[in-house]
Amino acid sequence: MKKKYLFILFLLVTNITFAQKKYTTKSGQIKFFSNTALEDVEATNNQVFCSLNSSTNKIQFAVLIKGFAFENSLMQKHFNEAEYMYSDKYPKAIFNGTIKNKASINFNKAGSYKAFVEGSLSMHGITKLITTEGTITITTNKIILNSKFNISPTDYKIAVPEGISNTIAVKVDCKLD
Amino acid sequence: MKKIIKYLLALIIVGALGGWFLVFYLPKTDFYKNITAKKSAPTTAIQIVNDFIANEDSAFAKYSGKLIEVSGTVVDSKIENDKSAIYLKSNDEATHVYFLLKENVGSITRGKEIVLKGMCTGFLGDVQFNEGEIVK
Repeated sequence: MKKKYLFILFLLVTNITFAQKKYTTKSGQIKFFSNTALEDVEATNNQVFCSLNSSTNKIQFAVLIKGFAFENSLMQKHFNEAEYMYSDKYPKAIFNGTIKNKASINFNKAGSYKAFVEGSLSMHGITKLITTEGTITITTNKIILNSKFNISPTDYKIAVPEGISNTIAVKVDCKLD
Repeated sequence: MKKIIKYLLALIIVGALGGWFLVFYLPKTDFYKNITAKKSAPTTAIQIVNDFIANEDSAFAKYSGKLIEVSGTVVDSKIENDKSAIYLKSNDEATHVYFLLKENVGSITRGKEIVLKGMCTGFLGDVQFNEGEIVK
């Protein structure tokens, strides 16, 4: 009799373990862009850590500020300086969020789903609540996340150089295994 | 008088071209990156990972933002966003030195001893480098 209960318990635990799937990548991409009268500001980071837990619906992004590459090296140098991102003191930006519409996403069925995510973005020593929407595409062996949102550097006490808008467009693209 | 105006005009044109070259063109070249980058002594993947695991803050101050040559053994290589990504072995099984190269150089054989050069950007699960290239 005991053996029967143990077997049922084993099946239950195994089933839960399989249902909780964590997808990760170390090679996600974040781009940001801002128009200026003189020259566009654009930078890319191709070494973004991203994880998604399909059971808890938690999403995390983490990125090293010094990993943002600009076409213009002088701009990249200024970006990391104490007046702006101060990457020597604040080396990382981290987002921890939750998918709010989890009922409308089926992680076991291939397809493209709209996702509403709410969470906290920490950078430059400041943490702010942000909400964004994006797309979660589920394939047989990958999950692809795409999102676009705007942030205001002044919300994070980051100085904005003259001629540059206080609205920075951010684009996130990650393929998770 | 006309000569002076001509010389002045030529000077203004040369000055404007020089300014454009220094502010807009030169900073977009690898030459500028190489002459302005801070450099650090060559090291090994094992040493740099040991340093970050022992004390992340002091290792970040020592290595980040610097152009460094790192030697080590390839544990994995893949193509990520059309560029080669190479992972070097350390003494910690879960932590590597993760180089993203400037371009796609194809696959690199696992177990190969290699020397890479790139800009250290810090520690995020692995010690990360970008703008990487193969030295030998």
